[in-house]
Amino acid sequence: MKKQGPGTREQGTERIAKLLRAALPSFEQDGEAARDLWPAMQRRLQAERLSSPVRLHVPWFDWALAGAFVVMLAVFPAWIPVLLYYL
Amino acid sequence: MRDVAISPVEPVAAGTGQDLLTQFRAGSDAAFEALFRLHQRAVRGWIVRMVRDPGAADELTVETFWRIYRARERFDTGREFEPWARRIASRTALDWLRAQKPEYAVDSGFFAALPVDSHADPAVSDEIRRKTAMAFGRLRPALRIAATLAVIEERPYKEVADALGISVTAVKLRVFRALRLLRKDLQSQGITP
Repeated sequence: MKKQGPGTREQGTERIAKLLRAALPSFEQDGEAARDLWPAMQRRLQAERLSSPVRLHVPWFDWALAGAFVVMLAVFPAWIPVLLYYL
Repeated sequence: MRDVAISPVEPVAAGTGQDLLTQFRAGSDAAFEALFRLHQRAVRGWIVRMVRDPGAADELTVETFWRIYRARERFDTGREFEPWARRIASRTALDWLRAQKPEYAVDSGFFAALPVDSHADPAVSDEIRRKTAMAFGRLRPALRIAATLAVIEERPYKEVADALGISVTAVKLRVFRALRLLRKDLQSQGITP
């Protein structure tokens, strides 16, 4: 093995690395799956789409507006009854 | 260092590949399927190296691509797809390893899944190999995954660091700690490497 760094260059560390490689050889298996994984992927996509709730996207400007409104009511609480009257 | 090609997929023409990534980011299912078919082999190959279980690798490949699909809006089309996919695959594998019971790594199925190595050192007995594998299985997944990729699979530190989303120094540190803990464990069993 090409020595990769000062850590593995240490003699004891190199010995244990060699032992580890002897115990657990490299998994040189081809990445090809025994079966086509796309059908499983499709099932997963469908299941997740059916189970996930519809998410409403609220623009940041709306959040800022709502925040400003709450701050305004906190600063001027006298406006609350007026607001309620007109709602 | 062995020259094992991790990504045996056919190269895609630059323009076509870029279009595909742009369409994928925009939410095209057809583009996602094309990317899945193009990269599933490389992603699965990377996962199987980390988890060392071909059956689990199939499941984790699907889980990885599901995470990729969910994160598509965050994908930077100016960058390559595969390193990004590999990082997500590494995180998926790490989550899976963390969810496994510690004895998973040392049960009979684990040894049955190991490839037969014709170059195995005959001086190391089967008993020592078994004990070493068991001790390795008791390490924390974060240490185990770094040592698996850097020591067993002999992938370059830079590649491991990119895949795990940590620095090269952090990878070296994890490998060093993993090997030190492994040595301590074996020494406690009377094995002096």
